[in-house]
Amino acid sequence: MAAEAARPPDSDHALVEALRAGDAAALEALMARYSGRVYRLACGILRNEADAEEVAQDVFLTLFRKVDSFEGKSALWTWIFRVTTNAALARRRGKRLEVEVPLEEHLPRFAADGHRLGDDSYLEFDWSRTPEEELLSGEARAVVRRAIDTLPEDYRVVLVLRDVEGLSNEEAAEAVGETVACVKSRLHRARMALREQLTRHLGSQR
Amino acid sequence: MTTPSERPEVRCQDFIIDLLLDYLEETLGPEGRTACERHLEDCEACRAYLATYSRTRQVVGATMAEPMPDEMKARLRRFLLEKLSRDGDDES
Repeated sequence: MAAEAARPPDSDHALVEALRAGDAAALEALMARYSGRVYRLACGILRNEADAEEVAQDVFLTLFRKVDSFEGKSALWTWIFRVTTNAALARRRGKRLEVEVPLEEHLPRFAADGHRLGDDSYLEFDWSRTPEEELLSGEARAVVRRAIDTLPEDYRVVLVLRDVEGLSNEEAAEAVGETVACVKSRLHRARMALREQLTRHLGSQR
Repeated sequence: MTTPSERPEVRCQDFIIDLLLDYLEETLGPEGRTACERHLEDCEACRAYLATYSRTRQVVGATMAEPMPDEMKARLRRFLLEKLSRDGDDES
């Protein structure tokens, strides 16, 4: 690594070039730009802060050491997300502690005529205007967290990439190595399952 | 060409399972979009579903957005610089 830190590169392209040259400032810039997102993604997949921290360490080491394998065909952050997703999933496979609940239990059910099954008062319950502080604190937050924790991991990864990191369907598909159709299907099913659990909880509070 | 009376109607199941995501992402063609809007006009349950589905997306985003603590960032930086300087020593 070069001992003298130059001005951090502005663009991702310049950053990659500087990393290839072993520039210490580039590693600092890479961390400043992406460590928060890498951690958030790892945390979203692993649901554990200590594990996410170790994954972040592994990811940045990998990025620095394997920067030559980045071909530049996709955006730098898509590559970073792919490396992070793989590292987090590999770590999770070693210690799967939570019981994943089959999604079907939380998906809407329909009659043969295509109408949703359930009481009208439940089906028409619109809690979307519930104040944010009520949804993001206390029991509702715990319900959401638990629901996220018990999603099958393939679904949770897609949910994090799309709804937390704001990737497009195409970018998320590239990061997880699946088709866009598969990403969209997982995303939709995961959101439906979470919506159902939140609706049941909020409905029980009425 | 199909006339409006021949066009198959969107049912709740079609809307929720097959169309909702594309409707929200605005990737449906004009015909699909109009069919969804017509269904939503008549179906209070699907209007509620759409509104709560959209809100769920925001709640999930806000719940999962764990910021990286500053001390953890500092630890990460120390870890990497140490590790890489050791790499450099090994090479020399």
